[in-house]
Amino acid sequence: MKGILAIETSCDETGVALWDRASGLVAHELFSQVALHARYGGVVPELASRDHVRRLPQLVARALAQARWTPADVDLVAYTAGPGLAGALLVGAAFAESWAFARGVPTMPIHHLEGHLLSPLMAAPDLAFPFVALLVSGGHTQLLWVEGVGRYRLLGETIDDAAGEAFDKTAKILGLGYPGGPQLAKLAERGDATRFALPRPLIQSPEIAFSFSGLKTAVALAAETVGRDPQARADLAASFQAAVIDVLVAKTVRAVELTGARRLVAAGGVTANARLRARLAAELEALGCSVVFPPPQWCTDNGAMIAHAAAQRVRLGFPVKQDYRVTIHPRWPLPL
Amino acid sequence: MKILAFDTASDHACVAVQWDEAVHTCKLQGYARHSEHLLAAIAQTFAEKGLGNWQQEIDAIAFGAGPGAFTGVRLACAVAQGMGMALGKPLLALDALALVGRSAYPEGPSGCVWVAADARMGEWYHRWFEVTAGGEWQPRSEPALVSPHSARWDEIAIDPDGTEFRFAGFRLAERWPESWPAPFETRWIDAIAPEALLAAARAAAAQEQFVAADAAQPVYVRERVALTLEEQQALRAKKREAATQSRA
Repeated sequence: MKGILAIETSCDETGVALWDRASGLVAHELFSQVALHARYGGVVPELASRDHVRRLPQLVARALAQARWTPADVDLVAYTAGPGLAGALLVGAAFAESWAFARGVPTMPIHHLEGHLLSPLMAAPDLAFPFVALLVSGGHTQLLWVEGVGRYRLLGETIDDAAGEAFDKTAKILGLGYPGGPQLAKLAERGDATRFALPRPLIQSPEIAFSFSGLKTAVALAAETVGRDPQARADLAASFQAAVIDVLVAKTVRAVELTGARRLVAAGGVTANARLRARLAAELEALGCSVVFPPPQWCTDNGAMIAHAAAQRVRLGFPVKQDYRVTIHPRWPLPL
Repeated sequence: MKILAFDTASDHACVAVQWDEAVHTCKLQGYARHSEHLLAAIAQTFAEKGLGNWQQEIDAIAFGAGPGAFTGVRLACAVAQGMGMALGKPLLALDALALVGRSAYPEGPSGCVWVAADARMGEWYHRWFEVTAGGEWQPRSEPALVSPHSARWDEIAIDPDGTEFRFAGFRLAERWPESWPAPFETRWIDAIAPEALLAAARAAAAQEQFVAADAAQPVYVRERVALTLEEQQALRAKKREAATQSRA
């Protein structure tokens, strides 16, 4: 017995990883469904589930071959149990629990966001707790106070859309392809961010909360005046991106000031945005707070972060599960 | 032959075990979520019969592969994949419509049987089978979708001039159209019979229809589950046009 088989199927990426208890990550496989969903302009949950059940066993086989493991080497099966798309989660959970049941080994359901927020520790294992975590993706926008593995306090979150969702919806308004976030960021590079005066929702409010639906509406109204003018579209993209980044940075600064944190961990798909990274680093380091980002390969959903989170939990003696019930939590608040 | 078989495509899931000549069955009735109880039911079935070493001894894992409720057939497939890969055992993907037919006609009368199961959205999944004198269920058509309100019989029937066929129905919400010929025998079922599950699994094993765990897939039949961007735009344009006309 060597270690952990980890499975991630919460949305539109199928991720598998093997984690050796002695040497850490020994294999990881990832399949992105972006091309599958592009022609629909967004993730189609039923198609996502179908693709997970198609890819998952093949990725597991490849990971085992990559690590030169056999099924007998797996002594724990970890999987994302939520939050996420119910049908997609069910594929990974059913596969994982059934594998564990057949081999008589325990399982460990992992919170998807815990996987993300601990992922920077894969590259920086000496990163000390406590820290503030900014989790910003297509499904989530949260600030958390992290005292240790499994010890999280919610500082604030979005009251409507997630930041990544706002990026994708704005990209759709501008007629960009899917996934919209990276394409919008690319278009924004040649735009003037000062041309459109877009709102910065809640930026003056002392509370730590985000709201992006009003911003999305403002972009939709502005887009009607833009037409097909390529420079105006780039300016609108740049103005939108600047508004989102202003809000994310302002609230993160507020969280760091409130907690007195000396470290910030920023994770989730939106933290792949180069301008957000640069602004966070500049403004927080000016406050004496270091900023840690996961390596780009761990910014998207992946199996390695689930394996890593499970390994941390096992190391600290968190209980494992051995009832072989396939239970998922499509909505699952993070402070566990 | 030692086979574990299960089906989760309907409200009443079932588990069945063929252990050489012995047969053991378990029905999961009254559970809203098969996912939470399926593995416990399998464990209980093996434990009650004292089959403690089943993981090593089993020859194949059979599952109801659909067509049927998407989540149900996917659950069965993912469970079979996980167990099959973990144990290095092959899988048998069982046609859900054959399971309906076998549940309705366990005696296996020779002749044609047309099987239909509810597919929602006003449609049925359907498939024709020829039951041989030896009791084998041989498919005569591919599993497909049919709308009983709009389909013509000659589009559905494998032998439009022949009217001698039996019918097996599973939870059909739509009525039998008057323009279709009446089958000379009709049977309805409410649940897949564990005995039918095992009979189908034994037949599949005898024909060596084994698949590797990483190659087994559910059968959906309904492939169109979302509108493409172009279709979304066309639909929006149509709605706008209708709204304009209604205002006018």
